[in-house]
Amino acid sequence: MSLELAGVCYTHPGAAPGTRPLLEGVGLEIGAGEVVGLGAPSGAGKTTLLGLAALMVRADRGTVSINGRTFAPDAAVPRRVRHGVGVVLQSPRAAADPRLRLESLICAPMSIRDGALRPQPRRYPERLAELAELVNLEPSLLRRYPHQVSDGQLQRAMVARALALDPAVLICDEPTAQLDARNTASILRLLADRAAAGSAVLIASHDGAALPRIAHGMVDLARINRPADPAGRA
Amino acid sequence: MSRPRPLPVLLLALAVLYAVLVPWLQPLDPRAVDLDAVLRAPSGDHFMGTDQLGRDVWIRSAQALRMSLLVALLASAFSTLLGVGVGLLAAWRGGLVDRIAMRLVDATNALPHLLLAVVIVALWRGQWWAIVLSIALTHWTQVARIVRARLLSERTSDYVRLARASGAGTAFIWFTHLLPAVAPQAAIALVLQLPHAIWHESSLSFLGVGLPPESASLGLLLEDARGGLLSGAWWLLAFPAGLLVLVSWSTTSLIDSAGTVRPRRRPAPFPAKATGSAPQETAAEADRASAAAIAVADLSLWFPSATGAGADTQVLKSLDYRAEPGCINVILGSSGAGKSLLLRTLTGLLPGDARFTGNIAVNGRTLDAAGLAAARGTETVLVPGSAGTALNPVRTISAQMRQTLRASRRPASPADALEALEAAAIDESLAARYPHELSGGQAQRAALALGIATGARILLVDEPTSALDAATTGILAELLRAQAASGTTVIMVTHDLELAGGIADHVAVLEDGLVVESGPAARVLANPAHPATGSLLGTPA
Repeated sequence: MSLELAGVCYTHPGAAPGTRPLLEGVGLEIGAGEVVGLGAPSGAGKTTLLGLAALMVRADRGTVSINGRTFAPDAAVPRRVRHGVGVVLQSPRAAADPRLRLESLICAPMSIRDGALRPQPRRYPERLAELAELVNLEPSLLRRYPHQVSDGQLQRAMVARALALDPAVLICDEPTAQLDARNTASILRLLADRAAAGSAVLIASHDGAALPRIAHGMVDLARINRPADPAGRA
Repeated sequence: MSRPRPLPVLLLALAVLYAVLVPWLQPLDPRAVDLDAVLRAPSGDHFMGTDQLGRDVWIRSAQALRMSLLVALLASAFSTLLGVGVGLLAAWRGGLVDRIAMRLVDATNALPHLLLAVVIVALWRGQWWAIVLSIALTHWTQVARIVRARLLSERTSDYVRLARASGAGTAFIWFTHLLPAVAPQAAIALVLQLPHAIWHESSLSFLGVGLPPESASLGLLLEDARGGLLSGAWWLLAFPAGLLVLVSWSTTSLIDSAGTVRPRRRPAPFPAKATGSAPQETAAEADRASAAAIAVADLSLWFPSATGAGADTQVLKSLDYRAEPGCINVILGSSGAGKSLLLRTLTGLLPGDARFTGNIAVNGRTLDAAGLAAARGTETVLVPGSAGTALNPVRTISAQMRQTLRASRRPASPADALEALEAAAIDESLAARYPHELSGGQAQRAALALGIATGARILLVDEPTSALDAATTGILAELLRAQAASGTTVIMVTHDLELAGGIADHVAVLEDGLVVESGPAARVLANPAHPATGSLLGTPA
């Protein structure tokens, strides 16, 4: 149960030739049961790095290891590995399909695992209730569509979705950006509990106050983002 | 969900009933000729008069409408099917298949529709299915393009990426995300093509290449009416033409309401200069609200219940609120308290199915929903929380800034745009980028700069710092303070207590749809009177 990035390089597709890559030789290691906070000024490539770690973005070079299985940029990733990765994206509005009710959004990973064609909230009533309680969502909100709830409520639903399959690796991009202090604390505690249960948790956040309290380590992207081999470049 | 407007539905239903029932109840052989009753004006015997051959226009119009509707329905169904099929195939297979399909679309579009239709119909003279085919084969291209474009954009959306990251296969993504996204498009295309197909069939029949002359279609009846008109038989033209217009109008109106079934996305925050009608004003109310930039009294807001049955959900509950002019007014509250909805209400950006009651005065004028929307962009402007999704994805930040400056009638050269962006720490290289090339924090800064550039004197800001690091938060705080110092009223929703404590002049606390406490920032933040405020200010465990 761990997450490891080694020598990861990434350039925006379509960037002019000669542009400095956004990420160069980035390495990061998160052991099982560890929470690592990732900080950096805006525009430094936090979101891209998280996408790479979640195997959503293809790197130019470098490898990503999840639970000891190492993937090169072009490697096929087995479904089972993906089921073990939970992701929370920065904007819950963009990450939630506006045509699905909250209950469908939350149970999507379970339906995906079970090979269904659409999310089937009715098949997992107990788990759904459990997850809703975990993230402090009223059960009545589950029947609503994303446009009928607030940003904070929607983000909590997206956290519930990420936790649905008890992921071994949890990757969160600004999970508490839309939340008030109370909910921020409870969500961060939730992520810490997840780590205590053996997951590797990577959180990017600007929240200077709350995150360090639960994180085992804080990583500054500017510090780990440097050429692997500076001498080799002309 | 909003219901379709009743009048077009009723008229369309009546027209269909007329087309189905009348020919069935009063059969009339189209070849039956009654030369004793030629060209009779409308009367008790012949409700709509008779034509040159003494046939009853009332019955013949029904036959014609039945035929026209049938042909149009089949033609639009067939062409929608074809268009959706080609669009799906092109988006699904991509590559060569996509290129061939799209060139086929271009080629079809390059041919004059009527000409192609005439050729097809001429090959199978007088066959109704040839008319169906000729309309379908020339009208599927629009649908194909829309379906393909929609699928391509859905496929790169965050929710599809998220499903992929969870290990979803192609089938799950198609059935859960992609097909539901195009289904409404296909339905709208089907209805949209109906009136067009009716007119197309009528044109062909009018030109004499459509159905055989003894059968009845609206086009044939109009062609017949041409001769009768010269002898003063206006009813020959009036009734079929009226039916044609009525059916076209009512089907088109159906689409208007179908298109607004449910707001799919949040509306864009920076509209071009609003051109609404002047909102009304009552002297007494203006007097009462004159001191505040925005004064809200007794505001309640409801959403229809999610299941469609049962009572509506009340989100704001008789809320009273005042924003002091030239100050930074901060609204605090736990998530789900209704803070963002209050800002959306004040800027006339509520989703279509929400309704509100109460009194909202902006700069002393009481405005209704339309008035609030009209004031947006000139008097008020909303900078939304998730700025990344609110910026126009197909224009660079600099271009969007120039557009905003132009809309507020100010110099809009690239240099002016850059100057306006500079305050938000957006430099030249960032300004030249498209929104998707910016990070969350950069997009938020750009959105705020755009909001300020509208020149509106009331700036409503939703969670401006949620995606920002400490250094940029400082820049933004400076920016907002400078705005307030120059007389702009800032209304800011935030969870960032540090920021609130640093820049707020007035603080209001929202809890469960009500303002439970408000007053000068120093007082409220230091000595909270209401338990909800205390709980918000209390350090998280």
